[in-house]
Amino acid sequence: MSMTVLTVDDSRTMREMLRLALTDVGYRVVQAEDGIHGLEVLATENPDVIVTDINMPRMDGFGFIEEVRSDPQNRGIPILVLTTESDAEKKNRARMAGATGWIVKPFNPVKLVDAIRRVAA
Amino acid sequence: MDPLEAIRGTFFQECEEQLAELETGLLAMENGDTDPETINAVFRAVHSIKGGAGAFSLEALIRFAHVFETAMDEMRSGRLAPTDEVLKTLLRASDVLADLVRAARDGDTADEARSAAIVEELKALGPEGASEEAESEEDWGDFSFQPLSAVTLETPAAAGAWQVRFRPRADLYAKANESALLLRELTRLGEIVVELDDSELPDLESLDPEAAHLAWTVTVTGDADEAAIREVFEFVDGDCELEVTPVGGDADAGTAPLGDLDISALLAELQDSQVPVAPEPEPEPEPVAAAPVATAPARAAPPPTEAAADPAATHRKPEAGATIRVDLERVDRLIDLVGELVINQAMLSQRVMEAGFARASGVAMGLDELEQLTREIQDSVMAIRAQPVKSVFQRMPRLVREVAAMTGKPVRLVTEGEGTEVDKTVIERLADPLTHMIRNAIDHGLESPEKRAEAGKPAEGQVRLAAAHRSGRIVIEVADDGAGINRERVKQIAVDKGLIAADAPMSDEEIDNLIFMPGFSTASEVSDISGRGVGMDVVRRSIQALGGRIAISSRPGKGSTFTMSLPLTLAVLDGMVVSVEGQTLVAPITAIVETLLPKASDVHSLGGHARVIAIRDSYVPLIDVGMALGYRAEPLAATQGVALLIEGEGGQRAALLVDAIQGQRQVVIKSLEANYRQVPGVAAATILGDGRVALILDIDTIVAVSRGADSLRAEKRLAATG
Amino acid sequence: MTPSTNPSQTPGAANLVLADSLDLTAAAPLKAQLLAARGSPLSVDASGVRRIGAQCLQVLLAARATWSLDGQDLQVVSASPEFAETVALMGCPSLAVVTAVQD
Repeated sequence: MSMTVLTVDDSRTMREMLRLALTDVGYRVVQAEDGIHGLEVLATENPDVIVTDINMPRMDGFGFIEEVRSDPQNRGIPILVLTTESDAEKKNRARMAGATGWIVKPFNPVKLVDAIRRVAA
Repeated sequence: MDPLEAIRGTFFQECEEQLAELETGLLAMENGDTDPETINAVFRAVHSIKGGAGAFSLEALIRFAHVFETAMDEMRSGRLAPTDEVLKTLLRASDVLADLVRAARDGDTADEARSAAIVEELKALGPEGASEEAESEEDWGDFSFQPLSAVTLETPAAAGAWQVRFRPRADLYAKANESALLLRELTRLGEIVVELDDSELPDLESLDPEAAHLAWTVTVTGDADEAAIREVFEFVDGDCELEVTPVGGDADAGTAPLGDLDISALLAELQDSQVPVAPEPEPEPEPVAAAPVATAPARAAPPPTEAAADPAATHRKPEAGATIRVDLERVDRLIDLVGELVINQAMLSQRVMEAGFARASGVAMGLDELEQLTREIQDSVMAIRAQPVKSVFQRMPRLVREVAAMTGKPVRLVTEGEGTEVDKTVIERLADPLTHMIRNAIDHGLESPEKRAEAGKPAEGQVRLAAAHRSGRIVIEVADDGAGINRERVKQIAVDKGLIAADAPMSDEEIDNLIFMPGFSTASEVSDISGRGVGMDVVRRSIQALGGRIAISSRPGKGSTFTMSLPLTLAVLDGMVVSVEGQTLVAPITAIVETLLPKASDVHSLGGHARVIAIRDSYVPLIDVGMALGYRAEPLAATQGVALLIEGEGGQRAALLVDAIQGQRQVVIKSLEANYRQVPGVAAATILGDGRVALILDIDTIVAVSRGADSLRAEKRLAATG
Repeated sequence: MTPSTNPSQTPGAANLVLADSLDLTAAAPLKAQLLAARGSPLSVDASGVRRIGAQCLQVLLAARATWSLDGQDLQVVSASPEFAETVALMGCPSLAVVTAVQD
């Protein structure tokens, strides 16, 4: 069974980038445009891993991660945050919220897949 | 198509959206909007552009966006106040960013000096010592898409063995990290021997299932260096105890691991421990030097059959709940079909009436409902192609800034009704006339700051751009608060250019309208800015080509207002249906000023077939449409027909003589060129309720007949050669 | 591996079928299931397991120790390849005994 990755990013370019890199290695990709949309998609899809941006309208990545983790069913889903900031503060906030790991943007496909493999079987 | 190239297209498309968003936000802030979400939206727009640019290694764009983003971040965190000065810099920066985006898209180079100057201004706004250092070029290069060969082959040679002691804490699991996966990662670095320490494990009854009681000691033998091993544990740093120590190499270290072991624990676990785990098999040797960009390692790929089946699955779910993207051609096709439906419905109604059904009969009533429904479908379908004028209005602030800078006149642009919707085809053709009118308003309309001061006006001039729906049309106004039209001067210019007689009595309104006459503006009179060899006559013509009208009103000392009224769509037209020699023709209502029944005393022959008709104080050419289109050889007596007073290109008036008026109705436009060929004097065709084809008159071409006998022939030649 | 190394199932042992995904959210329910089966020999069917994390491994190891203290037999049977591979990776290959005949 192929792995399903939920990508949450308000940038269409970034979503397409992610889709390209992930489908290229055979993952199934479902997408959302912001945190709220991400929660909606999560309600119907069963992703094996979530890749989310931080700065998004409506609900940012931190809020999204907290919401995901607050649902007992979703506690086990690995969440990777996308961040351009090498900023330790952003990473720490994301980890406090329950993020599993991070990917520095702009990512190259190898690092992206490596990071996913490191958190999801 | 190369998928990466497609994403590049998406990126530039999205950049345009972000740039519009950016400008909207900055303008809102300029108008006093201090909502943190507005600032954040601006930050996000720059941030997104930078992110995408990074993926495509667009260095100039990345560097500029980074400095811009840093300034926005200062503002976002409250360290930089959004003063007028700061916002002006940010607006200029947004213009440069737009230039850089377009240069990157088109493979050009943008004005480097300009962008360098703005970079300096932005840096001055930023924190002490802000620079591009934060994310230098090398950093970006490392993370952008690049062939695999460049990134996978750099494992430093550090042969030997490492002992990794790893004791997770519950937090590690709470964040959905997994020890099993970390151990699996270690197998990629070399051969590993795993030793489980479950000595802390309580019995089942007292076990907290989500606590962390297991620990591992792993010996990794291979080429990996310490950094590579620690990198595996990057995400769990702080959520576990981790020790990485070299094994072997020197004699002392060789005995160390055993000495550290608790022998009894080792014996107890003997059965389970010391089992070599081979590195995970790798299907193919890794270097894929010739691999296309954006290919990830094969070893991460599940079976290809699943991969192939997946894209279809992901398409089932729409990306955004609220909108979908549809090929415009499909919408056009739908609009065409609905046009047919409208015609069909009208024909059916007419047949039913002819068949003598009573108005109150069930059939007639059913048809009324059908008509209602058809209208609604037509409106709804038209609405699909409707877009807010925002997309055009958004281009104007930049134009205003540039013209303001060139003329040295401070200008504030006020826009209203950006959400007013109009057919996409109309929007696309609005940009040029609007650009011209706004240039004109600043260059000619507004006075210099000194003159404004003398007149007791604020130094900053105002240009207002407003859109609204009014009785089924869209009305767009461009108004300035300048000096108004200098009628003396306009009249003098018109006289000098021989456009009017020096002694012609003219109302203020007529004088104002002179600026729309072809040949009114010339290079000598028009400055660099509004001119570019284009006069208001061209603006008027392009508005008329859209089935619209333009009018000017001006008050001395108060300013001028240009008002355009346009149809909401180019697919339907309000027409006056007339008959000529048994043919049915349609004249666009927008061109018709009034209709009148000519009196014999008002019509004068000028010799040949040329006639003029007196309308109030002036004479206008009387054109027999039947003659112009070749339906008859001898002109109709003026008193036997109806005259349509029309206003053609450049404001010249003429009267079109037709046999009779049948009525007014909205008609669906069918292109003749697409279905037949271009016919001089005929703009398009339509199908009437009774199924007859009616031609839609091209007023401008017909008026041209009145200016010279060979006009139509000339048009024919043009049509033939062009 | 040869068939002869396969343990024979204890006659009369209760059977517990493991879920396919044994991540951290599965640990508490698994513990409850096991506790409910305590007191008699148990055969744990791992044939459907696609993944298992450290926390469910903890539960299984604790259960095995507890059964052992109780003097009862607890066997993991029909381990799926994923289960066998992962528990071996985590340092306790004996937990997974693949019963499928292999060549």
